[in-house]
Amino acid sequence: MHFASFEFLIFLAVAWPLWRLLQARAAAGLRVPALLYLLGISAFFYGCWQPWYLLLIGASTLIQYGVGLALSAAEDPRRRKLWLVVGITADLGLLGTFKYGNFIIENLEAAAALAGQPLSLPRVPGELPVGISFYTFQTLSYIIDLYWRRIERARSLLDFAVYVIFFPQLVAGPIVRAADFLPQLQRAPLDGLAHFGRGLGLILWGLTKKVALADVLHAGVVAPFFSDPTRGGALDLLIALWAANFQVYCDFSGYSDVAIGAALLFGYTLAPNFNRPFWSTTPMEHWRRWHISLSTWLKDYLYIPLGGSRAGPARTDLALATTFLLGGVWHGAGWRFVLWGLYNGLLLVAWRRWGPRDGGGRLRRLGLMALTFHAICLGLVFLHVEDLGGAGAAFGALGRLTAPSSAAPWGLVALGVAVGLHATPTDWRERGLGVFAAMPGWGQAAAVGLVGAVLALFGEWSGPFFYFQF
Amino acid sequence: MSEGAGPGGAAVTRRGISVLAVLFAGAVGLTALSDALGLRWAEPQRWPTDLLAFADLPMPSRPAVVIVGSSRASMALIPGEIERCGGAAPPDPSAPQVYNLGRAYTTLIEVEQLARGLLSGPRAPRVLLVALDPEAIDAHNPRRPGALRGGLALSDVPGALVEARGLREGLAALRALTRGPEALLRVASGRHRADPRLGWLMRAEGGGQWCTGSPACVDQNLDFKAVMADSWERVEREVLPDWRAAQTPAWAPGAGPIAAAWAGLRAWAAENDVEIVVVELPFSEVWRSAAPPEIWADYADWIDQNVTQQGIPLYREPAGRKGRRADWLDPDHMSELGATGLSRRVCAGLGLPRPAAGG
Repeated sequence: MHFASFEFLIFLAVAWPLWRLLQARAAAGLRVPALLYLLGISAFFYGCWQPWYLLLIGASTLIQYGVGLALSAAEDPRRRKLWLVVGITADLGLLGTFKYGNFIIENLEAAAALAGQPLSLPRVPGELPVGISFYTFQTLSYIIDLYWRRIERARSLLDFAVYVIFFPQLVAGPIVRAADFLPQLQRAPLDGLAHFGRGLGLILWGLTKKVALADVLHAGVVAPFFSDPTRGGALDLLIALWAANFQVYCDFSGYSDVAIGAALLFGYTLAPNFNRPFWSTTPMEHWRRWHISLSTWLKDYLYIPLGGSRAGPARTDLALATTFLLGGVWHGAGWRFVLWGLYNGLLLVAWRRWGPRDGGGRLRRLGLMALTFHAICLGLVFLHVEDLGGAGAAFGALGRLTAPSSAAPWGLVALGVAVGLHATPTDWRERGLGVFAAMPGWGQAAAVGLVGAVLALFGEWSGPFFYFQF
Repeated sequence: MSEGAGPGGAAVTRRGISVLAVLFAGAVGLTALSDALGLRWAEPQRWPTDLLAFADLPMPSRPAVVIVGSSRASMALIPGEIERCGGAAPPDPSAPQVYNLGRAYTTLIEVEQLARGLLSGPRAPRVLLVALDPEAIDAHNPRRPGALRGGLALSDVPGALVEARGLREGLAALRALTRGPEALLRVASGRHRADPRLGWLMRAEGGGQWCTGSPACVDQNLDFKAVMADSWERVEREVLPDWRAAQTPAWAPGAGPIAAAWAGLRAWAAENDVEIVVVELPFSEVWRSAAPPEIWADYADWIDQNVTQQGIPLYREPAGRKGRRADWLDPDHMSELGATGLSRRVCAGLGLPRPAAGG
């Protein structure tokens, strides 16, 4: 049941009115029925993918809650460190087994075959559980923050379980920090017509970006080129990369908008995940504005512990490259993700050392934006091909100076619209959401109906959200 | 107190409920309107609006043959090949006489709905070719919700909701309520006329997924092959591992609604002077071995009792005929090559297209 589906709209239409009955009780201090309800509908939402996913997330929740209890009770530093190691090992073990298990096994077999000793190892059964990368990072941040004594432990297993499984952010983020979310469960959920209207508006806005822009960009520009890069030239590659960058942006920022809007309908806030990333004048700034919840997670729990910028230039370079390499691997089990992470890590290192400095006049800033945008675009080649051969074929297009031919005209229109939307000032969107929130009920219903029909119209192009594969 | 922005509590609940109520009423109203405008067949199916293109066609005389069945049927039988059977030239090369209306996940229940809803009056064919596969006679076909939402008339929705076995079928039945807004937007967008696969193929070549005999068909087939390039690997990876587990436990060949649909289809054929013929669709060895032997045995029994013993013409591939890998796009859908051969054997075997009475 992904967000851009009829099933999700029905799910919301059933789950929300019942929630309203309990929300009033939660506002009056009766938290448990409301939290049990959130847990139940979130488990239903997640179980619709595969019921056995619930076993995994349930096990992870129980283990990390237990580790949290032990951490908060322990005073001895060595004991605390031991519990931290137990928690991290459990989370990374889960992630490693289900996300990277088969990748590791396949590479071991390939290495053994190269060495003339063919191996046949058993595979990890089943497909990659949806959302596992996101919820393991959430529970990791919980136990690490407890270890650092930055937060109080969850008040109960129920609070912690809702924090982990709350359906809007479960399958593709934003990665929510316990410090931001657990306190919200202690107080009454937000209520008000403005919140309702804003939540609904964000859902519609996100779905529109996903279905009417991201999927159209994919079908009209990205897929035609990357399905056979040998047919295109340098301009085809360039246009496909622009479209790919905006496709992922519209897809994932659209997903994040739906998640934030759905959470708001239920009275909870999730932090913004994108801040017009293509206005960045350096790659460092780009990653501060892109998938903010992951970037800040990697910064807080990986880059800074690795030394950050405090231990000399060489150590900073190493920390940056390692953080981005692991960030790439987090996105998927495959060499293309390794290469993508490595590319971005090295890009940041090189830019820090030799790249142009930020600042200057408007023209210079525009030039830096274009440079940064294209540097990020180049890395996307690795995400859109199956293997190194595919990347070679795509880059091979640079050697052919022919008129662009692979993009469909309607795909280029979508690209223009996406560029325009990205360039729109943030406060325009906020004003638009304000206008939507102030509309009468029938107007909001008409907007929902229109977006639903557009969603169905483009439905045959609509695939799962890009970040589900991660 | 609840933290809020503007009026909260009951006002928010009222607003939410009113949005839902207006949405529901609007969707049902627009569906009724679209049905009244004859747009029922602009349905949200796998190949949307090609049925609308069929419904839009001027039909000066009854079609010689209409093929119905699942996606396998749409890829296995090429209308042009059947029309040109044995090298015969069609009477009017600009107007197809044979049509393929195969739809994804179709069972006999959807075949009857399609026949009664779309194939009446001048669209009632002289021959209805029912292309069968085991899932088509499975009353509990787990893939059916994919077809359900497309075939239901508005008045069928309450019944479908009552009969729904599980959440997926219930949601699919509900989805039929939203056909109206989708259909109106679909038609307004003009895609069924602009997109070759949704309009031209039906108008010029009688629909289906493959066509032969013209340069336009060569391009069309190349495009389709490009879209389906990884189909065999995808089916092996994603469909076959779960097929047995999904299909077998509730396997109900010819049960209740299927029996009623088959009887209803035969009654419709008698009312409209339509001859029913049946083709038993072939499968690759990979697919055959994925299904348990008891399914094939039940399937053969059903055909024996309901087709052969009823005197309904049946085409079945000769026993022992080994298909080639090149005949298949994926383990259960035929390639252009396979479909061309099968179409020729079917038309020769069943003597299609039959000449019109008096003509």
